[in-house]
Amino acid sequence: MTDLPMLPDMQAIAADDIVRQLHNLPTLSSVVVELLNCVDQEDIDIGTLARKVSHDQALTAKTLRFANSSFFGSQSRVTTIQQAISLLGMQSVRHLITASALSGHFPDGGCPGFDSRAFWRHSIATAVCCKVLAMHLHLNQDYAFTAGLLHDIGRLVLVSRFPQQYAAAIAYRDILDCHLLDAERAVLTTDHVVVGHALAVQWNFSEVIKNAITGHHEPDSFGNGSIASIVHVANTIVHGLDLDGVEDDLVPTLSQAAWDGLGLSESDYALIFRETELQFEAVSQAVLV
Amino acid sequence: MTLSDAVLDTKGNVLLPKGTLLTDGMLASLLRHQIATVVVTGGEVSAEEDSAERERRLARLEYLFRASDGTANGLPVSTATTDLHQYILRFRSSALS
Repeated sequence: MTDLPMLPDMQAIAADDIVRQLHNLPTLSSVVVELLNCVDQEDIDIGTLARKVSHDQALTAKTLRFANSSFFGSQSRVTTIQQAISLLGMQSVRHLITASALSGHFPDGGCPGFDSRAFWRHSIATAVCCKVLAMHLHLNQDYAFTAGLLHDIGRLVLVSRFPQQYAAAIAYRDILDCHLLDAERAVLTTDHVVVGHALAVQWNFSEVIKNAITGHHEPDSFGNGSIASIVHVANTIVHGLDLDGVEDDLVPTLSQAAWDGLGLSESDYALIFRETELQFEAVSQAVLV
Repeated sequence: MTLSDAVLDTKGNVLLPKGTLLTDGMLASLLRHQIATVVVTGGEVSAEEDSAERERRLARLEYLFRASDGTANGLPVSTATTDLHQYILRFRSSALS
């Protein structure tokens, strides 16, 4: 009989510590603060915002690369933020910029076992799948894309602010071959859903994004066809289609209510799988460099 | 199959860099760009290699769904997970046939 590997000790993260670390996060750039604070405004001054974004070269480059990706099939080259907004839609640009800014906001080098590239592959694939699902359900595709993009943002907080504790959760997951959410709960006594919700409150994310973050693992209380249900189903599809590129990936359990609530047929899903794979290839080439 | 040269669109943007290992999704994406032929390295794929690739992909799918018969992430067992598994299995099988 072989000895079982030692499970990591519990490394509980107290709610007070989470709050303190969220308050200690570096200040966001003024552009991102403005983006986060105006997520529900329809009358945002696009010109002013575009000018501000243009002052940040990295954000501008990433946004334009995305706008020029084959995902959007534009016939002409997009060279300004204003053009990107008219092509992609205000919400997509706003949240793409936010995600780009946030991705550089959470240094992850200190957390052994965390694969930053796989994290963003998963986030982008879920965003694309949400968008495709929303199209089939005749719902707002911009919101769905953004909700998918940001649903796991709590993980970035844990990785960057509690790297040693999170590394223990990853080690626990690897030993037991369980879901990372279950490992987080066992080792940290909290999880990325709780932390993500706290971040969404602190940074004034819109209600849509808050609900996506809070309900993407347990969407049943959010109702049929909710954004939480869409992100939940998209998240599971992305694991099933193997888009994360993680060797020991594991498909999570799918909520029966969320699945039934979307009311889609097998032929619908065959199209959704196909479109998600095609669009993911194009988007990931544009943004994952 | 691996690309021996980068694939560019009509504006000179790189769609796929040299050395990319081609997937079904990429091939479909290239067709959408009206790119019908590309130069690859690695030569012809034999029937045996094709069959081995099919087995590998279906085995990978079974591995990904290895926990679908148990409770996890706070949710009870659902036939929804089994449905999704079967949908993806048939989707993959039809793409490979």
